[in-house]
Amino acid sequence: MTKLYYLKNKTNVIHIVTLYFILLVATAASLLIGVKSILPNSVTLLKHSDLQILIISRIPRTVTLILTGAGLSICGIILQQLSHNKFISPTTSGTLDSAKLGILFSLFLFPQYSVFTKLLFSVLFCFGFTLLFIFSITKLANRNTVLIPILGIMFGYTLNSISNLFGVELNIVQNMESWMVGNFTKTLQGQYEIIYLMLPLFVICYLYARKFTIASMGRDFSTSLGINYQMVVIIGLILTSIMVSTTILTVGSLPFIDLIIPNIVAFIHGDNVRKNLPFTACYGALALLICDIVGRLVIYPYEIPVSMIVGSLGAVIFLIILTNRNR
Amino acid sequence: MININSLSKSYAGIPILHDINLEIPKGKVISLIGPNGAGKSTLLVLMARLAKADNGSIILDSEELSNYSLDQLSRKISFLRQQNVFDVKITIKELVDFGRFPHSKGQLTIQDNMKIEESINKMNLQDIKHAYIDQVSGGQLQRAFLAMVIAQDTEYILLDEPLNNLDMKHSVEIMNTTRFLADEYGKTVITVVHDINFAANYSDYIIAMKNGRVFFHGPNKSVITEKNLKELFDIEFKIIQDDKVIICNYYK
Repeated sequence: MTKLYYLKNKTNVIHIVTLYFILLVATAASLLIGVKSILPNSVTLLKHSDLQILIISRIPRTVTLILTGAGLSICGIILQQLSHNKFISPTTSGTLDSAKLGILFSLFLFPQYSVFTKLLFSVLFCFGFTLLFIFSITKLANRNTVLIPILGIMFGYTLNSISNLFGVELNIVQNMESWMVGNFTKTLQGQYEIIYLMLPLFVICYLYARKFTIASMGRDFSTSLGINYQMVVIIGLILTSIMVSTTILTVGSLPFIDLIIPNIVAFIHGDNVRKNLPFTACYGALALLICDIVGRLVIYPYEIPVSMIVGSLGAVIFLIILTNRNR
Repeated sequence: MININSLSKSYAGIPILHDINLEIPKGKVISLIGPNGAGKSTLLVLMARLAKADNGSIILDSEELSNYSLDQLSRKISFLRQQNVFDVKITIKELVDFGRFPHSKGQLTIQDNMKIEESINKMNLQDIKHAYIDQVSGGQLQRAFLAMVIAQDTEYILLDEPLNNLDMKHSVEIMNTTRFLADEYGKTVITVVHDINFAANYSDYIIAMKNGRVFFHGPNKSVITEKNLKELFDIEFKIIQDDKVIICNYYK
């Protein structure tokens, strides 16, 4: 049995190494593919213009893709664990829409202030509304029912309609829609740097990973192990709020990736967050990179916004997971 | 030693415990018996500080229970409950690892790992330690949780109906483990047991509860009598005893 354990450990290591290798390939592809193609054999002797393209556009875009994909998937896994529900994620608990509402309020109240004001408002709204949703809904409906994500999406639409109302009144609907559609074309040097906020957040998530798993076993279980359950829930929600807000500010909203990736990872690797966090991050980054590359190639030299591809693919996979779970 | 003084508790206006006064001895297996709804589980919940009492106090080793920090308490008392295990896909080994959390805060040391191995071996889980907890049988899951509690290595161990849904073999195993914990490790094990014969044969001390009050308590030899049991459960008992076992017969 111990032999099997080492074997299992070893396959895990092989698994993660392979994944990160594929991620590397996808990263390279993302750097090289675009309207202005940068040929691999010219990498060693990059022309000045190529270098400029890399620095101004391609590298920011690829970095944002990786950090966003990883970040959203980690958010999904944290929300899942804290709500004890496999169908809860930022997409299905109104988090994305509360961020939108938050940004709108900040635009309305403090139009002259910087991106950090928007971030702050967005985080506050995400935190408040997600907390409200998770804890009111788990009282109303049985856990793990199909009803919960559906109610969550409805909750999201309600928030969204409030945003739209304000948007129409303030005449900024079009402006709003343009920054809400998840799109990586605007991630350019000078505008994307806030996404690096993800890196320290990943580290904090990893440090709290074990506590999140213990919290997922329930309040009494956590308390008996000396863990302040409420504190862990609040920290988890703050972390997800900051990560979701950051991605929305840099790229807009990307539905379903935060729901699908954690479910796939949990299916393969189980629910121990500490163990599967690297996998989650990697799968998330990879999924988003590939979707974005596809989006860039389908109607080349034009682009389809990645949120469209992620959204439609994600919705289909979500349906498959739903039907499988309820069989 | 746990001293409980005039403890009372009600939920939503309905009184659950009235004026409980107890002195629970250390290093023994203590069985809480009594009919359903007598307040046994609530008493355990209060001892584990998962809820606050309305009145009265619990003194744990001459220190008021509420004075312990959450961290200290998790190294003093462990509590295993029956219900609400969420469907979390972790392995048995990972579950037992959690038992060391109060000591290691996540970074397992060599000592922690030795303790974990010891608990896994003690509960005979070596062969299935990498199985997910949602794939194993009820008996195996119960043993896994008990292994976690053993790994937590606290002086006081509270068990709420550990024999629930277990067959006879597994019940005997669990009760033998509680005996081992008290006799070899000097732990104080307080357990809710519904099977009167397990309580009578495996514990040192009995606390009987009825309608939220302590009905009788004392060393099991002195309190397991036909009269006491009849009054407690409202059914006829006949006690059959030899020098090894005591059987409380309530069939037919």
